[in-house]
Amino acid sequence: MNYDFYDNFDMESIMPFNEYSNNYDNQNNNLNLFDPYEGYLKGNAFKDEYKPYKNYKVAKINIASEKDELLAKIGEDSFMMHDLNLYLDVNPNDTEALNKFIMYRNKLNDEIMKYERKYGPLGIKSEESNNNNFNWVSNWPWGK
Amino acid sequence: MWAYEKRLQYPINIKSKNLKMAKLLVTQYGGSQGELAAALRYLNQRYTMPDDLGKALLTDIGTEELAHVEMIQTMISQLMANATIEEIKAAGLDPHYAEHNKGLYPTDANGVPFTITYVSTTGDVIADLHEDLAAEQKARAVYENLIDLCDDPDILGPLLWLRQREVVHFNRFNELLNHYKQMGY
Repeated sequence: MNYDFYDNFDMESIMPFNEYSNNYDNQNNNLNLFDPYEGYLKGNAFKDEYKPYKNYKVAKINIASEKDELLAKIGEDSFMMHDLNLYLDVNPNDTEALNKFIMYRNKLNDEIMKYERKYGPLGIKSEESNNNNFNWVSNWPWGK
Repeated sequence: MWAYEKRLQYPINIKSKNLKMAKLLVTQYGGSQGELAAALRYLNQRYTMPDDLGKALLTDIGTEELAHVEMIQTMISQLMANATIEEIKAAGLDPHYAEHNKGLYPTDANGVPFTITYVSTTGDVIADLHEDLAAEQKARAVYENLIDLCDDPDILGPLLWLRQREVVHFNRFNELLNHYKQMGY
């Protein structure tokens, strides 16, 4: 591998650090995130931003089946990815947030594949939407 | 464009019907501080955001609000499931039944239908972002009013969760506003 390439690499040309006003020092930021389980239950990925209401405690998610469990995992990692997505929209130079975003996205994609193989497609573009019959028509999330 | 994902952003599993709560909760569907107004507000304002940060944030929060519309719709439909005519009358939902049977319809808690006049757009980034910040606070306040009126944990869980999302969105909009102020807007 030719490492010279990296020596000559002009970061500025691909990441316009100075274009945006909220320009974090990339080596010295301090994202303080909940773990996915806690963040998802609370509805907030960011520890420093969490604001509870009165003395109400957050609800636990009711897991009654393997399907519920897989959906909860998808909910958790998709939630963390989404909250980092919103954060990165306004703080696009935060490399720590970007790396965490990528980490949760990869986890999420694995979990979605695992779920879809067993319980059918979550999205119409999924490979699982053409197995034997058109199973997109069934299994709507509002239940009952 | 948009693509549908066949799951709720946060699970809704309401075991007992509660028509009184359905009647109140509908305001977060079709009321002035509701999720439908929020989605339209941001997805409409994004076209006059001056740079990519604003376009990205308003698109992504506007999209999340659509998922919240679905959560509220799901809650209302589960709360009304299997209701008898007597129960509908007792909860004061007979006017709704006359117009819509058990169909969903976006109104506020007084039954006033949704109107786009709830959504403001000036084309001025500073004015629009202040509108968005206020909208998030007002939606948070309405969620708190609903939480005060509710005693079913199956409903409280999603309400507390949706309330917390307003807190997060407020913070992101605030960062965006500061960004534009620093740029001289």
